[in-house]
Amino acid sequence: MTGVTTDTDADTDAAIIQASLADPDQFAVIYDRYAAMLYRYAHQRVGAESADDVVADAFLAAFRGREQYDLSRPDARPWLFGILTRKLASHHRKEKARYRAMARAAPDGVLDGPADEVATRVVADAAKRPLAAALAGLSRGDRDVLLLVAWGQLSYDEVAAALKIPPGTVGSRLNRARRRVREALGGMDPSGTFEEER
Amino acid sequence: MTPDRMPSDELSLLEEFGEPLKPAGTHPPADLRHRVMHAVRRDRSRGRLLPRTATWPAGARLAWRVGAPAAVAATIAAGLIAGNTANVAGNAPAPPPADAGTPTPMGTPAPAGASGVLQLAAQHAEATPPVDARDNQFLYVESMEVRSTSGKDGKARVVGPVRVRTWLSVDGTRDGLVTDDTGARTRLSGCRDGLRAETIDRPDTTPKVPCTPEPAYQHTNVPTDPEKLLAYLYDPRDNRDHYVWLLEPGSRKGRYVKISEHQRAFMKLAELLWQNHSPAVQAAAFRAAARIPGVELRPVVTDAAGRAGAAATRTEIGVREELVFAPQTYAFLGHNSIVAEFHVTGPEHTGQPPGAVDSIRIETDRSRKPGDVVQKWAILSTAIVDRAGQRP
Repeated sequence: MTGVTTDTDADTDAAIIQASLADPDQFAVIYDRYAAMLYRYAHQRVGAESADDVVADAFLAAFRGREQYDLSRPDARPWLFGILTRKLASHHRKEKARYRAMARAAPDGVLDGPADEVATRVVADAAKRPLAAALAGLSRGDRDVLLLVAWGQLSYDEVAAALKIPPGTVGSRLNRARRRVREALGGMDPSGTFEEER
Repeated sequence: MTPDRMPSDELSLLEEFGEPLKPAGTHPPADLRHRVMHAVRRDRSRGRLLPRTATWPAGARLAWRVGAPAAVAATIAAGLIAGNTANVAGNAPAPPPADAGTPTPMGTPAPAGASGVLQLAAQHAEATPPVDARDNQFLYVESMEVRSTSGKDGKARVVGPVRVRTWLSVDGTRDGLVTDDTGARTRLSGCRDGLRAETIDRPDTTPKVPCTPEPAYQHTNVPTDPEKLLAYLYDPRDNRDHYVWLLEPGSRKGRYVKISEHQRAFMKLAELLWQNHSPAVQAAAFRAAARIPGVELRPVVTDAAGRAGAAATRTEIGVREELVFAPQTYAFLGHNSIVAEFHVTGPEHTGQPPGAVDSIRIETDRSRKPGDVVQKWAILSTAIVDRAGQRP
């Protein structure tokens, strides 16, 4: 028996990563836990044609860098999102071009469904182009923070850990990004409308 | 205003915006898992081809006992390039090199025994005529590998010997290939215009990283003068300290033990011997090895193919690195890393050390015994071919 597997909390991410130092096959457990989450996030940011590559690269980079993993952190999610973010950086231009294309695209056609749902979707649809334009206009660092929160569902502390920046910087980047998004949404006052329709 | 107090509307809209951008299913594409795990498994064997952090599995059971059946030595002649075994007069150790008195940054030369074997090995390499190899050709290397790994149950076991076929670009700029008899196939990205693919499984679609070509059968970047090669191994530009990370059983915090510059040089030399098979480079490497302090002779060891040979070894932090040579011809057979008695000589750190971490080792209860194999590779034959994947 290795010292690793005799640990009481042997199934934390940290313990699995530790075990994968000796036995790379253990890394499959990390993949199985986080692949769907990371793939979904990458797919949202760079689309189907690049998401595979980005996620594969991120896992391989995580594998190669696993000895640097801070074993005092049982949850590997922020670490993996941080690596994925760095891999996404090389698709920065493509990602921007994608948002620009969305900003130019025609609005969706006829909406169908329960009234309140339609109303929500109308708002969302109206907001789509300015949102895409805003995302295209953000700096990389600001966009990373904003989307890790909005799409990755990371807490501020987790974003700070993922990007290796102080929590205060997460806050200021997020504030700036959200201000840009609000400006882009302009006079439509999404908050009021959105809240009412709920 | 603190971020937490801000209204969450933009974020809600953004989430809404992101919904249709999600993939259709809940699972990533089925082949992605295979792709990732295959790359992960292959990554370790590539670690030898491209310098990278090596992982040291927990100790494994002894696969090849020292002093294996003498009959296996009969296969030794299986040729290095051109298979020339001439010009080795007897097997008495030669005297230490004449230039041993020259001041070097390395201090005292190796003991006569190891030094003698290395001088004879250098003579053998020098007597081996280089074969014609064009830049666009490939060096084919057929080798055996033994590795230790630990299974899901935590039990260490030895994997191999596995027969591995490698095609290395003669000038280092073409894409090479590694296959083994388990069916694995990995392309090695060549270094073209100073760039190579960052990942190994999809070199065409992954970002490029800076590199220097590693010719397999030229000596354009590697010195063939032993003195200059020593300077190359003790690279003064690499002024970082290097560490082994040790993890004790049940412990969450590892400790770092510094690897001496001499051990680093010896390990780099073993790596060089895999990367570059030019006789001139190999001869210089053996003469340089004789100048590294602390190199010892081990008269009988066994390589990954089961062949007996004599080894020039250097031991540090519980691992003995062995360069194995055929007992009669002094042809270079391969490299072994073997678990040794543990003695810490260098400084230790409990936190992140100031330098680079070179390798990882997990200490486990009773699982690591002196003599256990960490890894071995042995060259069976080499040849020059036109295409990666082509057998001679």
